[in-house]
Amino acid sequence: MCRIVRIAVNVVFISAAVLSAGPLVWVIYASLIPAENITQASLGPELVSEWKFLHLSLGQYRSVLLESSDYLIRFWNSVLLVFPVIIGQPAAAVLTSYGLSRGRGRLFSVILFMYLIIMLLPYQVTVIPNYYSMRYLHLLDTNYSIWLPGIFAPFSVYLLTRYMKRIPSEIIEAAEIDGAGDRMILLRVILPSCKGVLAALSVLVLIDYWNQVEIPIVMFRNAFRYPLSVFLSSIHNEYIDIAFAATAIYVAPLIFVFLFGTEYIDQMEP
Amino acid sequence: MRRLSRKRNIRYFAFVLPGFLGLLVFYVLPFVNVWADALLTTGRRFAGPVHFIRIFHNEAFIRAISNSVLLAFFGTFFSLPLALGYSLFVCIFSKNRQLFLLSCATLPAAIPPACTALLIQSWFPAYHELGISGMILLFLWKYTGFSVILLFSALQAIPRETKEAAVLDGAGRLRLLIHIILPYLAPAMIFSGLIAFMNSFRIFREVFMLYGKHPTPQFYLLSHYINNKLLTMDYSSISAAAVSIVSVMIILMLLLIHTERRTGKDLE
Repeated sequence: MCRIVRIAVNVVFISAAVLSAGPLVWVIYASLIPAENITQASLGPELVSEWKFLHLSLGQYRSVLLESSDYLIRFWNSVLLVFPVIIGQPAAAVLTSYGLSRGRGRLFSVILFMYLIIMLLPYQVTVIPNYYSMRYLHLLDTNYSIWLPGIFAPFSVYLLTRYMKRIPSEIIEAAEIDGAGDRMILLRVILPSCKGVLAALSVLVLIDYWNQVEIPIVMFRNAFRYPLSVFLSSIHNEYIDIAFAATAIYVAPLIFVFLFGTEYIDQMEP
Repeated sequence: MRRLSRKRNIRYFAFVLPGFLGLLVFYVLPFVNVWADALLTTGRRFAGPVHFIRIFHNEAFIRAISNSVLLAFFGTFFSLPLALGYSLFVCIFSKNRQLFLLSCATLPAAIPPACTALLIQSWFPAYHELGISGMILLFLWKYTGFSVILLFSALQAIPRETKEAAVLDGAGRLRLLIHIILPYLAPAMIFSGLIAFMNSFRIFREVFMLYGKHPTPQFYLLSHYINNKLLTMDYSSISAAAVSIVSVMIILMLLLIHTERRTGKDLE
């Protein structure tokens, strides 16, 4: 009995590891195959059955990074589009969530309800009002069309408000009795206990925006502005021989941050 | 006393205001425009429900809606028990490898759609035959991890004394699960259900990577519809679609909150 359980436990362990890390390992491995051995059909099981899988080279990386600037431009597009949002969204949420978690009454519940609804709407719906406002402000085809809706997106606000509501009110009341004002309470009492959640939110927003597809394809008519996430889809169809190196470089920052941030995400309470 | 709390509320509202203004400007107020587009003809005359009737007779729109709803419903429906099982497993069987298992669960969410699409193209060429169930499988692989994290931390938060007391009173494992653990998990279940629902719409990214802007009907989702209508500048259709979706969503959420109030669990 005990042995069967142990075997079953190990099976779950191994399959969890294969299912999650497998794709990444495979992409990194495939990025080292020389380009001439790659065709759409021969990528999967067939590659393994022949002995071609032992030839490795850095040729793909060379053609992605050195032979044309297309890829690098899109890479920096992505960085530029994402960075203000992953800092700005949680930072802006701190003030809003503080107010929402402390205020009492119908007005605050209605506002929180609005945040909940807009958070739950698919991007493909919220992108419509975003698009209208950007058209009105003449900001279409600029980076602001990603930044501004991103910074004010409801995701961080809703999650942070939930979290702040759980901070025991005795602590805050004690600080108030000691004569602390709002600024003092926010900086000295609330923020220190929200550090982990803020980090987790940044990681989640990064994962979301680095992989963003819905908003850029609506906001940008100029394909030159597309971030890497959208650009890669055209790579797949046209240049399959360098797609793996392109994808590997694209994943790298995300996995790096994920490995750092995972302990914060795990601590995040609902 | 009342006055004091009112004064405080005004102060707290001042904190809310900057962010809320952003939400209003970029998300809420443009909806006036969306409503107008949905209800007016091109000559700016009142059109009544014409646009609504038109899109609900449009085959592409019906396709998009039914695929998206099926994906959202079945994805959420299957992912919750799966996540519950996995997080119970992590709690019970792994003493020192919890972080490893949790990371395994969440890592797929960080794997970019481009990467997933490559994997599917080269290893599962028959994927396009799966259609909607393929999308559901993809969703389960990718986004169950979020529910696992949420349920796991809720499981950790159950007081040990409660469980011990139940065991002392002679409760077996099944009873412990049904009468103690599940009721404690209910709020977290609802919340992770919401998150799963939200994430189900993101499967569009993988589908877009695989099949581009015009996939076969089985893979045709709301985003395809909206994106294609935006390209052809058919604003009245998009607006009618958006208004319908938002209305349905508000009604669903109000119902959910109402039932929660009655059963005494708060969502806010």
